[in-house]
Amino acid sequence: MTVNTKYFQQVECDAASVVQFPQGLPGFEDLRTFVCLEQPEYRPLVYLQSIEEAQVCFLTLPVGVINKDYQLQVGPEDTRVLQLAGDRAALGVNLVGLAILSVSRDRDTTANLLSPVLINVSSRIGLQVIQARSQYDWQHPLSSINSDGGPTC
Amino acid sequence: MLVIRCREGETVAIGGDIQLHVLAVEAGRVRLGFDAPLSVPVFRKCADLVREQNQGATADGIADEVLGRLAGYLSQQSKSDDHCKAPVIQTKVANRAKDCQSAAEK
Repeated sequence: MTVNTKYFQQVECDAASVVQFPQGLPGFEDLRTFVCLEQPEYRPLVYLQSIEEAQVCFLTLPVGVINKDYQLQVGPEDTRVLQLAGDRAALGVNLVGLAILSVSRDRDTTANLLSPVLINVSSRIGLQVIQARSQYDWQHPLSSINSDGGPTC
Repeated sequence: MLVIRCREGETVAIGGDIQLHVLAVEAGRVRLGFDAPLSVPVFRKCADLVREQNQGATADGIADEVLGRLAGYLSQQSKSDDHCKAPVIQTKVANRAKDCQSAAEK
């Protein structure tokens, strides 16, 4: 299938690489199908591109890249939507977690660690979860990662 | 606005398939349980924050600037790839997409 993208014009994708979002994403509830695109030189940056709306493409980073000790809090309702069955939700095992990046000319790039986009790697169902009791910031500055002197992932 | 007084343990029905349970009432806090079809997302107020954040994140005309600012950070990341589980995880989802990408570059 051919996908019209925001940054790469037309991209050929295997239908099996499509991620379904049964609820869309907050603010984009009508958009249900996305693909993850990677550019080798910008790894581990992941482009979450809407298939239905070419102009909607999120820049994301895996949460583990931003905070290697990232703790996920997934409720029973979320595991149901993600079709994890009885499995425990575990990043790197059955889930990928992507933090959506926000950019402004006047501020540092921030990552939304409070509400990661979770993707079930086997069923390719996606969901942006809202971790109400999480201590993570929805505007986590990426520059603070660099300021401690060494790369953290 | 319809206002209903509830005690702990009571349930309010909304339409045929949505139920709101008052699970517990403690000093200044209420625990609510929702039974709703999967097609009805149940949001807390902070969902508005996420919505705004998402909409801001897809604003036009920022990509080049983002990439420029991120370049340094990402180059640091690639040096530490061996210690970094995340890109390995990511490959599972993005492998094919990456193939797509390289195909697009040809």
